[in-house]
Amino acid sequence: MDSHRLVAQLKIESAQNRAQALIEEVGRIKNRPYSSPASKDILEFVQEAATAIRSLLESEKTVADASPLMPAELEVRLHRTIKVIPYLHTLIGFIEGSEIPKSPGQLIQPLRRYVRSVIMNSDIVVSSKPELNYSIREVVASIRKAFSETPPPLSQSCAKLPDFLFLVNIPAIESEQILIHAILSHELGHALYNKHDLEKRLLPAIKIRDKMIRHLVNVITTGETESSPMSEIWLRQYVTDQVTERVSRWVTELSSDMIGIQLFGPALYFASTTLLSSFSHIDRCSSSHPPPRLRIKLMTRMLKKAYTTDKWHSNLTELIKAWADISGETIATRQPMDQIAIESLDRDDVLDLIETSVSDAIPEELRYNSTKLDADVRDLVPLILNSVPPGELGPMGREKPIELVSIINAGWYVYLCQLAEFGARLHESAANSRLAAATGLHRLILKALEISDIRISWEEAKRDSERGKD
Amino acid sequence: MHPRRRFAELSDSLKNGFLADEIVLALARAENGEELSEHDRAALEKATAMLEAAIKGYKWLDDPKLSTETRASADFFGRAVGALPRVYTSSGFFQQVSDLTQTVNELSNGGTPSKDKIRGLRTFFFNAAQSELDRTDQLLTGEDSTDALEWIAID
Repeated sequence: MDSHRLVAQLKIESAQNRAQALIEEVGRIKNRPYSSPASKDILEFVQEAATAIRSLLESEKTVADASPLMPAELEVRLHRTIKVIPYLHTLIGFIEGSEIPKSPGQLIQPLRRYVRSVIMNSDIVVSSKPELNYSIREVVASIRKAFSETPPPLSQSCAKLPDFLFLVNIPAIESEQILIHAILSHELGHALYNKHDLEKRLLPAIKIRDKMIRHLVNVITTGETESSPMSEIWLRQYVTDQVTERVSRWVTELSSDMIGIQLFGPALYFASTTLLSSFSHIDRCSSSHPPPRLRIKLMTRMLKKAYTTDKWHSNLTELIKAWADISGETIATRQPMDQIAIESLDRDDVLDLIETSVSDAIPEELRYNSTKLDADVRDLVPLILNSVPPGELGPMGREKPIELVSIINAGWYVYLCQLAEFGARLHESAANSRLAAATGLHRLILKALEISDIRISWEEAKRDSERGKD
Repeated sequence: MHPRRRFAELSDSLKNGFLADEIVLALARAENGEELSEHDRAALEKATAMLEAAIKGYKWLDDPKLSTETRASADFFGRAVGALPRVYTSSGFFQQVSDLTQTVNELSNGGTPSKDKIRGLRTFFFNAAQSELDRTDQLLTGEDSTDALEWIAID
């Protein structure tokens, strides 16, 4: 055996040992108490994929021995398979912090139930991490994609995963800030955007700003690049990549915001503006995300159309007016690529099209609307102000569970309009502190979600019992 | 880069890399005069689709209209530019990718292009496979991260 083949065999054996270590580690941590059942799904997938990697590496021994690959080609090929092992480690990292003592357990079941009502065969994992970071990501589509070009043992390991799995990361220090979770609806928007193939309808309708593109083409083809060291083809590729990426990804983000507003109503708006105003520069954008100013502009526009915002509580009217004013101002960009994307998308016809397209993707019963909001403010807010968790409503013995979206919207209403009044009825230690009142409110909302979920589970169990199911 | 996007890109990178490796293996077999399996032919068909998409991506700027395929074409164009490190002009790129497409088509249809042509195609896909491995490494180690610790308002 030549040296290259021998070293290849050693690499394979070493990687197989690492895959085995992964299998054993999963066996060890799988029995921890996780607050989200889907944490175990991830671990089982990792275990199965690591087993598949081990056998795939075994078959690579034949490739190493007998294939016509050159040493450099073989090296790249082997390392590709080996890279799946750190990829699987990344997945284990995702679920760290989802153990029962670390993750707010009361939150999981209501969120899980809601997500499943919007998208069947989906699941969530909520993890709290020791970092100031709030994120939600769907991972199953990516995992399936990663293994789509691999041989069956590996590609088949994805079979048991749900269709969609949302990983929600929350900062451990602020894990009780339940109202922020309204932004889950934005992430559901991504899934619905893909499921309903909205891209097909939206992208062809967007006209890329011709003038700037023509100028860029001219610069590229005539070589007027101000002594740029870049080659012509590189520049062409760069512009193509940057423009297409921005426009298509930004459309996805804006559409997901719109879907979120349809699903969660004002709660998403308030959660988004709270996070965006706290942590993002209003005009800062990236190739994947449009500037917050544009996002808020579109969300404000939609909120004003769907709700009688001018008749809301003065605190809310004032807030919405402020955001409408600010988001109506010109977006200051630094890059021509951002400018092309903004000028292509920040147009009434495009924003109208996004609004109408996303509306078609959401069933009527899932939409939050003005009537529901009025009822929630009328029925739930007084309960909250009296420190009663609004988890169920109705005459004694015939109470009905309150929906998650209603509870969170009522919570936002109190937070933005009547927090002082809420705080005044708490213990005197909390009465003079806005932060303490907010903490009290979040706890009450969390309790409401828990009660609502218990009521739903009870109703389900009763129905099953009546049908004679075990 | 947003963590969600990094994971999605990492997954894309693995997928692209696995495919490029399979194409390289099929081309190595072809260059060696071995009979191609169904799996090899399927890989070569995907190679044809990638090269055709790269040409579409190359032409996009001349008529910038969007469709569901635009992003994929732009992506293939980028990877093709990376796999042809000695090509600097548009005309050179177009010619090279057209030649490569012709060779892969000939192979897919049971023809026998010259060994030189197969070698050129193999080098192209090997370069693509190698770049993808570099990309996977960067994404795994977070070397390209610019804002990893940023609060993600809405991902």
